[in-house]
Amino acid sequence: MKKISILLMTVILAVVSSCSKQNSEDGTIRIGEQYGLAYAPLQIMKEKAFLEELRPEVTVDWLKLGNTTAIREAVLSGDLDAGFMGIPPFLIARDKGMEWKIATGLSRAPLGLVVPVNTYSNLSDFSKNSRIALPQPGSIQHILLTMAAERESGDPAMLDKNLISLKHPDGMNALLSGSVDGHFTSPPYLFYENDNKDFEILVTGDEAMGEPFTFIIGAVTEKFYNENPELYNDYLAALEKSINFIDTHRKETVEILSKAYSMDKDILSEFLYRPGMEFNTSVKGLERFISFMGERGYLENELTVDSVLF
Amino acid sequence: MRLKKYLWPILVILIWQGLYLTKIVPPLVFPSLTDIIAGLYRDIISGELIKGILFSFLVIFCAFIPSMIIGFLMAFLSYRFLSVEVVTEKLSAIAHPLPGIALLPLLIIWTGLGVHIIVLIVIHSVLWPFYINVRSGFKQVPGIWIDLGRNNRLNKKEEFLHILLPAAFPSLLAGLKIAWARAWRAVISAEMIYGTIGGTGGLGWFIYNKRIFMDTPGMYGGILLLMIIGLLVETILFKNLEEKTILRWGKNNESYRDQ
Repeated sequence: MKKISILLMTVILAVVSSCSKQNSEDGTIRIGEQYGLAYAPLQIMKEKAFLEELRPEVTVDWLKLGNTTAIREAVLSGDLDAGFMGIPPFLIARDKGMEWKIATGLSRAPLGLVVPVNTYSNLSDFSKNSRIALPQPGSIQHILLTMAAERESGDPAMLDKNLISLKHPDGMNALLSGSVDGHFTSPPYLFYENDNKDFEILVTGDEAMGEPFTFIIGAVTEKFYNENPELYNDYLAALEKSINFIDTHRKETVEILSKAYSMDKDILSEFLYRPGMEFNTSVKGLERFISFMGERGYLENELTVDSVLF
Repeated sequence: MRLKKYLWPILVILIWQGLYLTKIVPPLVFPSLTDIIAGLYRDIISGELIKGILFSFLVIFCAFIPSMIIGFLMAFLSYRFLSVEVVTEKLSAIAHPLPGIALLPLLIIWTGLGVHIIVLIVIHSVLWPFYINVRSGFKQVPGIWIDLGRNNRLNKKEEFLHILLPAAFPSLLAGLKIAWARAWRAVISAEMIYGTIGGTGGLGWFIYNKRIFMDTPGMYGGILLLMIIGLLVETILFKNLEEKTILRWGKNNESYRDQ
């Protein structure tokens, strides 16, 4: 009995202490990203080794995760110093007490609700049994749809009963096969669906929001920012360089990305440089997201732009 | 003895709260027990949790009944007829190792979106282990018992009711237990991956939703409740069933265990 309890305690302690490995070693930065065209500068930064070029002694670890939630959890467990995602999921985590802030914007992209052509003229045309696919509640797609619903009917929860959460590729298949009536999505899925003659965009992200907004932002933990101020600056400089590279070296960019995303070069090049795809470090729409999400109860604490931005 | 029974839970609670108080781990990873209980209370009062549990129970019920019937029939028929056994054995060898989640995309393409997808996945997860257990239960009935019955001129029905079924019952019960656990696993993971339509999701969706909104205490609360349900079903349903059947029929060897 005694032996067993000692063994159990040791196991518990070992498990717990392995959870709290928050000591980012000197000269290492661990960055979490996701799949998608909006993350293009990160792929460039990784393959061209722009950060390593500035700081040869630094190790840069890249971690590609399937969704926002996984990135947040990796930051929380101390496995990542920086992560990229939409503004709303970042704010939810910040609101719950995660000690990180926005370091940079990454991209703007057209978002929108895609529906079968000539079927719906506005959101109230959706019936009780209509289904709208989007990644998950609390995602930027969901918040934008809520904004659009409020703009149109005054009731932000108007479509909440119609939502079905599906990952972008599943959502696209569901829309094309007719199992859902709408899909709120982002590029490249938005482009694939919109290029199909049978589908059209009912509400764009900018219309829903009422102003331009940054799609993907990069957040960094306060701990990393305080402990590695120089590396932090070089990290942003390397990112800036990658963003410029996409504009100045189009051919090489397309080559790198088509390999990384296993996409056809022509399609990729057309998608990447389509109007609406903008890569820059400015952060737009933050204030509107904070006030909207605060009013609708998605955030509990009073956040301000200054308190979430480095 | 009585003290011993409560020692472990109390120890776990103390270690948990102690770890929380040391603040080695951020509270978003390891929340206080009082936060977890408060979250659990809040979600029960709001009805969110109760609705989730009822929904999951309903899905499991809808999947369990047909699985039990089909699994039992498959096992019985393959016990009776060699031609059936050849097919069912192959089928279970192929299908059993397939995780239900791997079938998810296929099921969506074939049958469209809806709650039926989760029911189908639970059926898949329940049917095969149940069939395999019942099948091996029938297989292990000693031939001499059957002979004994036939010598006493039992007809087919009596042979089934008085010899086959009681003899195979321990395996059947084991199959039921495994199937029950598998059903919960399947329903929770399917809901976490597949999501929901409107507000109607089960316990898996509840936990996933808490994860999305980073409500860690709520997440722990959902998992805690899942454990409590498992414990209750084990102690109330399966224990009683065991006492009323296997133990009464003298098919146990607990008295030979090292004390």
